[in-house]
Amino acid sequence: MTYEFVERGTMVRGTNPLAREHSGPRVVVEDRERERVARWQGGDEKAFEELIERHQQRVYRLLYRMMGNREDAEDLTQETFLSLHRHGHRFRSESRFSTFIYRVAANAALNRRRALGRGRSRVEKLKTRNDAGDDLPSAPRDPEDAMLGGELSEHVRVALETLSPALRMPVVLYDIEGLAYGEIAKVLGVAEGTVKSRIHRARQALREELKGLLGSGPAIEGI
Amino acid sequence: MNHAVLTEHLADYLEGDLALDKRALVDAHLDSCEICAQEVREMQQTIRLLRALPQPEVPPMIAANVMRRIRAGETRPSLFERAQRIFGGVLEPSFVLPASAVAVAALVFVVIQGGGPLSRSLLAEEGAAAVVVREDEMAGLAAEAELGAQLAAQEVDRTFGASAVEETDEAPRVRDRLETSRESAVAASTPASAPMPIEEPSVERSTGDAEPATALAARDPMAGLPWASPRRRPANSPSRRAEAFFGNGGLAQGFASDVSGPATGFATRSSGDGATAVPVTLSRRTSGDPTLAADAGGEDPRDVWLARALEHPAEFARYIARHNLAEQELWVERLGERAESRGLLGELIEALRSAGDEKASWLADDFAAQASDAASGAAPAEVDESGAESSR
Repeated sequence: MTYEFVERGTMVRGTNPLAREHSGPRVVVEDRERERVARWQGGDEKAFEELIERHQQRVYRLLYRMMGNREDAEDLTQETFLSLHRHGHRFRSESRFSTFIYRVAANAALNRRRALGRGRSRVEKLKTRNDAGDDLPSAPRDPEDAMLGGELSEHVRVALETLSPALRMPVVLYDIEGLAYGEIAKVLGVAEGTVKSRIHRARQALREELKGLLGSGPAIEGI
Repeated sequence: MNHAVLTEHLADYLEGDLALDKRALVDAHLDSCEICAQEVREMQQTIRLLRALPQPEVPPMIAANVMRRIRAGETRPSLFERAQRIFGGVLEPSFVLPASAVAVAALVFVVIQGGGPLSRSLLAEEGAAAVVVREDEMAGLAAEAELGAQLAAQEVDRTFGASAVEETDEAPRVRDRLETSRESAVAASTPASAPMPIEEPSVERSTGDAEPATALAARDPMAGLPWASPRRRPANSPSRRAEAFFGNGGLAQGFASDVSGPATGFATRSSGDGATAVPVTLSRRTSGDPTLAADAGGEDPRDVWLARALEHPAEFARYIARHNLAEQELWVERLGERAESRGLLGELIEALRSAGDEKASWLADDFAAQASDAASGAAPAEVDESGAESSR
């Protein structure tokens, strides 16, 4: 999809293959995006619908990783776009629209977590989710999942959920969504060095969680 | 090269960001150290697993549903929101905090007539600067605006005490005030009572009379710490959230991330017989990341925060509450670990609970949850294990 260029053409350093995959005509895509945003801010609701179509995938995927289930992710995706529609007149095209919308989505996720209650520990929440059998597929869902092994990907998904949002968000944006450090820093409002160190800490925590699986069996060796 | 050096370079090594000479050193070490080689392999596998995660399918009809809700009027701004749009962040209580930090308890309403300059000052006699109202649009909203002003003033009063509100200032040009209030807040929040000067290369000093600022600093134990954020608005305030969402001024302006290079300073730690100075050395890493890296050498910065938290639990809780929830969780996690290792966690929770402050009580709950996590030891792994079992 063409809009992928917007995020992934920015990678300057690093070997994130997702980030380097595309280095296409970002400027052209950005100009089109700006024009679309300008049309919407000028009152063209059709342009806003186009913006949703173009960005819903990234928003939904981030929220799915942050919330851990499809219902919350879908609900929050809608809320993100409603919030954008409500307040988007303040967007002035000084940053990229995709960064901007990630920020809205990230904050929607954090606010929802706040609403879920501060006192509950991560372990309790995870336990509740697991007890409810929420969103645990019993079989691989698609060919990619089959390649990874549905069970294995499920382990990774659950391990991700044990991370605090402050660690989970950057690692999801970097390793799964393919954003560059600088973009993530803007989305989260922290320094680039902070992003980098959190990604590393998140990976270390995941490695601990997945220790029993790593380095064992052909499924994982082949990845 | 040893394990410690490998640890330092591991992140860059994994990303291929390491300079060639260092990379060669790491490779040489990995050839001779099976433990580190295993760690690197596991990290690489973890990264590959993450990147191979299947992406969820986006449910259909999201755009249609959102557009339906928009057409149903869900995003239509309320009267108050429209007022806020015209006033900007001026109505928000949190906006006023920087101004109050320089002991000018003022809510600024700017009256613009036809987009022109200031025309009248409504609250000047109360120490407020001016109120700018676009008269042709604002007639119906004035009542709500005044209510906002009162609420804001009450918030200032609650936060900083009545004395701060009584302070007046000659009415400066409003635009100047808006631009300078943040820096002034930083300058004024330097505690005049600090026994030793704090080296803050990036922060201006207050040179004027600092009486109200002293009073303020006495109530704010975080003021003047070398890594204290120059922003005084709570991180979760509406204006900060809006800025985070929509503004650009705050982009990439992390927690005191403008503090460059190592900074050495003194944090005051008051005890029964008076205040003492605690030397603190901060690297950019410790000042930029609230996770408070403990391996920076010298005293663990978390100890200073712990001392502050124990002595001023309510102020500490208020300070923590300025961060968004994710940051707060990190604070709790890192400070909780340290408190636990020093046997102070119970005392910390107790201090927060008995502070008689709602935010402190929340924070106590968070620390207690952290304590129960820690007490259950390998609980997360067990839960994961059971989750994995149930998925089979």
